[in-house]
Amino acid sequence: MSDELKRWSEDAPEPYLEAKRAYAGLAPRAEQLEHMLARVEQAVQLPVAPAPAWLSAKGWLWLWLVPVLGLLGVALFFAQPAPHSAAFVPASVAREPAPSAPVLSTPARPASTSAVEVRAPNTTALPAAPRRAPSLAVSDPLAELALLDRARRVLTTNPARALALSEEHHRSYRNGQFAEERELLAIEALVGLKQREAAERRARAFSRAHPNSVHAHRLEVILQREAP
Amino acid sequence: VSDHAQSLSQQPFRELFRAHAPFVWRVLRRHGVRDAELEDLCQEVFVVVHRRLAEFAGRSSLRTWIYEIARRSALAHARLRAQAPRPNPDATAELADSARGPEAALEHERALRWLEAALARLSDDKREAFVLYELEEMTLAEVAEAQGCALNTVHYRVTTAREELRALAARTAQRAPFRVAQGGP
Repeated sequence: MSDELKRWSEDAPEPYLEAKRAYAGLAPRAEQLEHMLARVEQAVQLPVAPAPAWLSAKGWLWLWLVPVLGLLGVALFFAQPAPHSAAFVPASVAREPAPSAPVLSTPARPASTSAVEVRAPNTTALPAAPRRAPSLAVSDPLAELALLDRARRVLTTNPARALALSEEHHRSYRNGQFAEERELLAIEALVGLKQREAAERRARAFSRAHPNSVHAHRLEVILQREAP
Repeated sequence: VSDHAQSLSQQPFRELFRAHAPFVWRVLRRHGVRDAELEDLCQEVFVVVHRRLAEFAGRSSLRTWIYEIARRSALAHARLRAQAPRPNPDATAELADSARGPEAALEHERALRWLEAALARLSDDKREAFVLYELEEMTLAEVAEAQGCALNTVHYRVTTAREELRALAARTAQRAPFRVAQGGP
């Protein structure tokens, strides 16, 4: 008896049928949908999209090892009986650069469903690639996102704390990947703190800095909230 | 090579997103997520979906699985806001700026308000079963899975919800015919 049930239509009251038609139309607008998709893709690709740590300022220092160890390898090759050289020089460093196959050491990253994408310039792998130091947080969008998440979670319950976290974000990731989101969050926190003037000032600065921001509409919504 | 692999692995996710985002959007709305937060939360749901897609492995209906993630996100969100989930008061706001004419939008808005009020009178289980089956057009089996109950139970919930809505519609019609324009006695 309960295998299937015809959807309610024939004997359904008119208000319901009207509402069902309206309900089916409840959906994000097409451009809103694509924007969300872009943000989601950005978020899930974060672990692999950013420049690898060894490309950051400190990381470059290690590059001198390539020619030095390379020369050392060559020198050893000629100075010693052939088989020994390999014991002294890591094969991957002594080899000629192999630009087609950059290898990235990303131990903390899960081998998730998406393929690892490496946008690296022509360079070989460095076996001695330095671990990501905390001070290099600039290149760590996951930490950046986590900080923003923390702020967002307390936005309504504790806007002062959210504002403080957004300032922390500003200090640590001034031009991070989520600078726009951070600004939006700070403005929202200011509205929550009833600091309207500051919120509006910052919103104007935001609009000047990001005239084509995808968040423009959201900014309006935030500013209209609890308008005096 | 890696670029190509990436685009291949992303394509199904994009399709999945486009197919299910409107559904998640409505689920979040129905669970009281406000307009201003809808976009963010919807994104978060799909970040989770993406992360856990490997775990899913076809154990259930994809839609049921996504529904569960969305529902939990909405509940967690409501807890953070320290408020019980409730119908979204501005659930119809965006209809006003939709492509349809203002009159049709108004009509839709009124209909949705009626539905919202009517659904609010149902018990939680009946409301959920009714919304998923009648409005989201899931199969009975999907609803049973989402609710963790037997098919018969879903059948019962949906049919009794219908009866209650019908009775409610009859009462509303007696008081004030649905199609009479609002505004002024």
